[in-house]
Formats: sequence, structure tokens, C-alpha cells
Amino acid sequence: MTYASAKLVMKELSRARIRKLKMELRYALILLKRSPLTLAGLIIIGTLSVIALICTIAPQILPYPEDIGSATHPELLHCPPSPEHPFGCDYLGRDVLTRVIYGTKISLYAGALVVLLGLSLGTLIGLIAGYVGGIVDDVLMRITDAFLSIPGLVLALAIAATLGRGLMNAIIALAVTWWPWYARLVRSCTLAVKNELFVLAARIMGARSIVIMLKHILPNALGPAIINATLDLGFAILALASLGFLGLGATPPTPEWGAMISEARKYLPNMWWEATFPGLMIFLAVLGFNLLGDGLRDLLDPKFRRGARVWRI
Amino acid sequence: MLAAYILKRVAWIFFVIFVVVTITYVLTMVIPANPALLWAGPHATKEQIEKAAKYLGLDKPPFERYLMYWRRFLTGDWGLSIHTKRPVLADLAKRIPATMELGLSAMIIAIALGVPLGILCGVRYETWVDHVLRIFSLAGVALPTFWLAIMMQLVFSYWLGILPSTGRIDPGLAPKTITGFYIIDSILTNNIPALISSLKHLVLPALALATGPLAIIVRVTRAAVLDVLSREHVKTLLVYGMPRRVILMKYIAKSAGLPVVTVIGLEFGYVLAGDFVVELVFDWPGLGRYAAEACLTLDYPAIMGTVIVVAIIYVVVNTLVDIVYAFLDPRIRY
Amino acid sequence: MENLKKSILLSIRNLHVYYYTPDGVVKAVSGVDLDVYHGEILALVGESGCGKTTLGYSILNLVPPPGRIVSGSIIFEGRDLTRLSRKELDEIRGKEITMIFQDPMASLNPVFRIGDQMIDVVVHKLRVDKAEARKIVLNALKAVRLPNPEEIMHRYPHELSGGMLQRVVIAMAISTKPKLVIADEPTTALDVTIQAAILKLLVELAREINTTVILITHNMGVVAEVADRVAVMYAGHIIEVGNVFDVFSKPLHPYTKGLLSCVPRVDIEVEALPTIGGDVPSLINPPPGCRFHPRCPYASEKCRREEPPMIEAEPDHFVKCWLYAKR
Repeated sequence: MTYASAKLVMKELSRARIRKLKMELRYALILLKRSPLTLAGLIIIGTLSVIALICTIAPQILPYPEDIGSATHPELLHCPPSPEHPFGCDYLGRDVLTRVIYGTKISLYAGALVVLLGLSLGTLIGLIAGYVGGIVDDVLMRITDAFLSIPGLVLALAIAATLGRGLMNAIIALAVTWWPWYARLVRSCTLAVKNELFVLAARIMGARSIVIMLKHILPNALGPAIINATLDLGFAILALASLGFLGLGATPPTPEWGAMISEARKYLPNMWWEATFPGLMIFLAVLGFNLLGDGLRDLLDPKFRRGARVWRI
Repeated sequence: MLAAYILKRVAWIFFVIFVVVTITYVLTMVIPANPALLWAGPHATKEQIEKAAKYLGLDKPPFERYLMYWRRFLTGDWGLSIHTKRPVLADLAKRIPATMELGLSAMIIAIALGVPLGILCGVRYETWVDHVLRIFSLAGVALPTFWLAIMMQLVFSYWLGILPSTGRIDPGLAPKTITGFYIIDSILTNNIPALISSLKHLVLPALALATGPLAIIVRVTRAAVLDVLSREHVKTLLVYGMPRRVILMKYIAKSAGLPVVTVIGLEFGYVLAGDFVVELVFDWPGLGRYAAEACLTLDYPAIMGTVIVVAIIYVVVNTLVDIVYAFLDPRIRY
Repeated sequence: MENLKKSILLSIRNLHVYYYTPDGVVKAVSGVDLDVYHGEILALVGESGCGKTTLGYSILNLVPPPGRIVSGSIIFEGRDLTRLSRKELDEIRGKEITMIFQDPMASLNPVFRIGDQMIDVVVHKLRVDKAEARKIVLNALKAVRLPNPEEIMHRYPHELSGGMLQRVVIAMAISTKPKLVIADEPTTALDVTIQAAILKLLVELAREINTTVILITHNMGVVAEVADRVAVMYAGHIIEVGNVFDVFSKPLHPYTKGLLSCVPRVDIEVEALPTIGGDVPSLINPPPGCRFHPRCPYASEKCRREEPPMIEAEPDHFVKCWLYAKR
């Protein structure tokens, strides 16, 4: 291949990318039209995202913004659902509805962070393993497989316990156990792309390895991993809530759903509302991502119809 | 060839155990600012911390410490639980049968219900049965196990009062220990009241634990059946006018069953993880509650011990599943 | 086959088979008439997508969804297969009519032993016990000249080669001694060097047990070599039927002529059909009148408007073309 033809390949590539993007968008619209479940998922996720956004920029419009923290209202202790407090009040007399709504922001952000960190680590390892190959690939993949042979949430538990209580520590703990899937995915994509014409073209044009890796391979290898990571958000939220429930996640008074249930458990069965509503919100959020993910996976890759990868407590 | 395969898989078990122990070593000794503080627990006295430091060999060079860690792991000295004040390994050993009884029951429920329902879905593809079951299985995967456990307890024990809320058996009814599985022991000793009581106690936690894996097994089986149904060899059976019963129960069941076997090992991981919270909610005297309580009280030696045991159980079960699969599927190349 | 006893085994009349796809109704078979005689080898030829495989499935009343038989009749020994219940059909399938597919590897279940699959069929179709079925299967495997039939019964499909597997599939087909075997491109997936041997074996065995064969193929060389009669299909219609000798020596339909134009001698094997100018017509919106008219050098105004009838232009040699209409 000559320099000129190499250049042509590169040009054609960027055009092909745009075409592909357009086609994928069209596919997505067709899918939404055909699958009401996917649409329902999209609506749930959209609504929760808007709620999280509102909680970020204007938390004061929540019914009882002071109840987000550790305010106490002795006269409202364990008050059952009423028109003023539709979800009732908790053991400090705080409005459960306010806390549950605010919990959306915490869970969505924290889940996104877990996935983002896991994705970064996994991409780095997968990219290096796939591109360098040889013994580096062997060693990295054996380690990845070993991590996959350990139940992830249990490992996360150990890491969280070491780092100590706190939301950020729980996020780190989960991210450390979250990367192997992405590493495998990115590696296989890297292997597929590595010998493509345009990578060859870039090499002929004298690009350095690191540039080829970041500029030419990464964008192509990252796509599937990003889609997967987005759809894994539901499971990240679920795992975080589980850690919170075990006292290894967010600490009081942070209104994290799992931690709220953990606290409310002490007042069962009489004060059922304190545990019920945060749980319903977890269910709703995870269901939203799963519905969306199910539809998208069906559309994008029939392979995913088989094993679904789920973390749950 | 099969022997070589099995040998390779068993070697893998040891490699994973090596990795797990090394990870726990790093977590215990390398990451914390002062490992002795973690090891002695949040309310430790000065002497207790010093004792822990000595026990962990903090005065020794790192490599020697690592060897010490391994020696202690191999000789079964996994430290003292801060909460129970007993050796962790002994605590764990005592609790394994209760957890296995619960976990296996959940797995059996998930498989016994999930495979037939999944086949039903696949066979009745795109009918209302399929749609309803699909929605249920999507919801089942999204349910937080700990919350489901609490809700089931709330409804069936506290509100309806038809099933016991906590424990493994009514006090004083425990059967003579033979296997440690109450159901099996009470059958072996012909102890009907113990059997009824332990079954009653088992229903809710087992169902709560089974829901997630059940939902996944339904989905996996459905996909596998659809895959088989699109194959040419099913057409051959139809062309030969074979009875539908034989096609379904023999040929599709086996072809679709094989992919399901591969996820059973994976499901076991979810059961083990879910076990922590379910046992905590239902006060089930097993590994999970031990670990969950250890998490809540930051009982560090107990947490690390449970993590190692659970990881070993998981990798052993998965290896067994892989080997069984190799026996079942003639196409496997070792 | 001049001395062939001409009694009719299967009689298809005005058969329409449509696929109801999201893109529209695909009229794969529209208005087919065909008689199949006892003991003959009938070749059904045509380009891919002309409806020949669909016609094969229709005979078993097993058109894959979203297709179905819309109208017409298929009379097999006095019974109309389009009107039978599934149970009655299941009695006929496998025992009286059976089918062989293109890819032998895909036709057998990969996780069952070959012997078990074959025995299962014999047990259920001939209602014999397992030991008896075993003997029958063993004999069938011997008949297709497989070495070590005992051992092959214990093998899984992936352990055999394509050629051996197609012999197994043929053995399975003849093990129940059916009256009709529909072979859908039985050698296309195989190595070229063994195609002829497998085909000859099939025909030989069929003659031995007096079984009728409908051989679906796109390979004219194959037709010339083994068939007694040939039916040419084009865009859902049968456009010419006759004895192999007649059709090859004096093709009537312009399409058949085109097909044979590259075949200088009937006993030379050709890889695929020679190309004919123009496109294969869409079966969703087939051209009006004669379906071949857009590609036909002799097309007239009438051909564009009216569908030609089946005309017996020569004795036992039928053609669906206005060129042969008696004026």
C-alpha cells in the first residue's frame, strides 16, 4: 500500500464512521417503535435522569429539602404515610419521599462513577493486552479470568471493608471488581480491529504505536464497551445498594437507598413504609436500565440474547 | 484427553485460590495504613492492637510476612473473629451446612421452575405467555434481593402470619446432626416435626434467594430453545413426523439444556452473594449472616475468611459444572 | 424408462404457497400442477429462489413460517395432504414421505449419537422394539456402504465427514422404506469429488426398494445423469415438464433453452446454470402474463398480458408458453 492510498483509506474511514452512526440512530428509532418495553425503559431512565438533574441544580424545590441531611423532627417520628408525607417519615421524623427522590441523584451518579472507573481500567488492560499480544496478553488475560472466577460482589465487600465505610470507598471497591468484563470486550474488539486496513494505513503513514492505539484502535474498540457499560448502570446501582444495605456503602445521614433500607430494617414490621419505598425506587431504576438494555442488546448483537451478566444481592 | 482437561481445570482452581489469597493479603497488609488497627477491630484496646501487629508479623520484612500469611492460611489459622472471639475457620466450618442447605434449595427451585418456564417461553414464542413471562423475568432480575427478602418477610410472616419470619427451625426441634442439612437429617432420623418445621423456615429465604437466578434461567433457556428451534435438525425431526412430545422432551430439552448448564455455575455466584443479605434478613445461621454481621461490625478477620471460603466454593462449583458439561456435550474439544 | 409403469403416486393441482413477510406477500409457488409417477426419479430444476424448495416442503405440508399453503391440493395415494390433520400428517411423514436436506451436518442433532437418532426414528415410525430397530438401522447403514456401521452408530455427527454424514442421512431416509423421498440439493454442500457417488447411491437405493425420488437441484448435469423426468421451475411456476431425453434433446420453453444453451452434451456435468440476460423477477410483485416475458427474446403482447396455460406440445412433454398454443 502506498502513502496516497493509505491516506485515501483514512478519509474513507471517517466517512464510513458517520454513515454507521446514522444507521445506528435509525435502527434505534425503529426499535423504539416496535418494542414498547424498550420505550418504557427509556421513559423510566429519562425521568430518573431529570430528577437527578433537578436534585443537583435545585434541591430546594424538593418537598422538605432540610430532610436530605440529618434534620430531626421529634413530632414526626415514624409518622405513617399521610397527605403531607405520602411515603411517611423515618426514625428521625424526616420525609421519606424527599429522601427517596434525593437518593436518585446519589445512586445514578455513584453508579455512573463505578461504571466509568471500571470501564477506564478495563479499557486500558484490554487495549494493552490486545495490541501488544504475546506474553503480556497471556498474563493480563489470566489475571482477568481469575478475577472473573471470583464472585465480584464478595470481592467488592472485602475491598470496601478494607477501605472503610463511605460511598466513595464503595464506588472504588465495585470499580475494582467491575473491569474484567470490559477488559475482555475491549481486547476482542482490539484484536478484530488491529489488522484492519486503516490501522495498516496509519502504520504506513508512520504513526507511533501509542498514537495508533489511542487514535485508531480505541475509538473502534470502545463502542461496544461503552454501550455495555451504559446498560450495566442498573447492576452497578443494585450492587451499590447492596453494599449500602450491608453498611459498607454510604453512611447516614446520606439518603442512599440501600443504606435507608438498612436503617429502616430495625423498625420492621410496624414502620414498613421506611423500607418499602427506597426498595421500590431501586427496583424501578434497575428495571429501567434492564428494559432498555434488553432491547438494545437484542438490536445490536444477537449474541447477548444468551448469557446476561447480572450482579445481585 | 478428558483426564488432561480435568487436570487443567483443577490446576486452575489452585491458581484462583492463589490469586484470592494474594488479593486478601494485599488488602490486609498493603493497603491499610495500619493493618493491626483493622485486624483488631474498631473498639480495640492498645494491647489488642499490639497483639494483632505481632500476630500479623508487622515487624518482619514484607516477603517474610507474605510467607507467614500463606503458612497461616494453609495451617488453618485464619485469625480470631472480633465479634465471636472464636477462630474464624471454626466459625465458618460450623456454618457451611446451613448455607449449603439454603443455597442448594434456592438453586433447585430456580432450575426446576426456570427450565420448564423457559422452554414454555421459547416454544410459545411471541405469544402472551412469552410476553408475560419475559416481563416477569426482567422484573425478577431488577429486584434487589435484600428488599425482596424483607418484603416477603413482611407480607408472609408479619401480615399474613403463615410462615415463620426468622431462624432455621423452631427452638428445640433441631434433628440429630448427621449431614448438617436439617431436611436430610430429619428424614434420616424419621423426625417429622423437625422436617415440617425446617421446611417451613426454608420456604421464604429460599424463594427470595431463587428469584434472581430463576429470572435469568428463564431468559437463558428461552434463548437456547429459540436457538435450537431455528436449527435444521429440528426440521429433520418434523420431516420424520416424530411425536412432538419426543421432539420437545428429548431433543430440544437436551440441546437447550446444555447452554443452561453453563450458566448454573454463574448463578451459583449470585446465590452466594445474595446469600449474605438473605441470611441477614431471615436470621439464618449460615456463612452469609456471619459475613453480613461482620460487615456491619467491621469484624475484619471474619470478613476476609468468608471471602476466601466463598471464593473457593464458587471456583470449585464452577469447575465441577465445567467438567460435567464436558461430559454432557460431545462437541467439547479439550 | 419406456417400460415404467405409469401409475400416479402424487398429484399436485393448482398449488399456491405464499410467505407472509413484513415486506409483503412472497408468492413462492403460484398455481403449480405436477404429477409424480410410481418409482420414477423426477428432477425439479430452477434457479435459487424460484420456489422449488418451497414446493418440496409443501408436499410434506411443512412450509416454514411465515409461509403457508394458500390453496390447491396435493393428492398422495388418494389423500389430500393439504387437508389432513397434523396427527394424520405425522403418520405419513417419515414413513411414507421423507425429505433429505442440503447440509447433512445441520440435519442431525449434534448432541445425540447417530445410532440413537436413527433408532429413535425407526422405533417411532415402524413401531418396532429397540433391538429390531437397531437391526434395521444397521442394515440401512450397510446399504449406504459405510465402513464399520456398528462403530458409526456410536459416533456423534461432528466426528464424521460431510460425505459420510450424507450417507447416514440417506440411510435414515431409506430405513423406513418410504414411498417418496424428496431430496433438496442433497450434494450441494459436499465436496465436488464425491457428489456424483452420493447421488448415484441415492438413486440406486431408491430403485432397489422401489421408492420414488423428487430431486430438487439447480445442477443440469445432475439431472441428465440420474433423472427419468424433469420439471423446470421459474418464478413460482412450472414451465416445462417432460422426459429427460425429450427435454434435453428438444427443449421447448425459451427459458429451458437458455438453461441448456451452455450444455453441449447431456452427459457433461455443469457447475451451475448458465446466466440468462435480465433479472430474476420479484416474487412479491411478479410480472403479469408470462413471468418470463421480461427476459424472453420471443415475448409478444399476449405474453405480457395473459398467463399461458400448460400445453402438451409433444406427447408427455408439457410447456407453459404461448409459442406452442394451437391457433
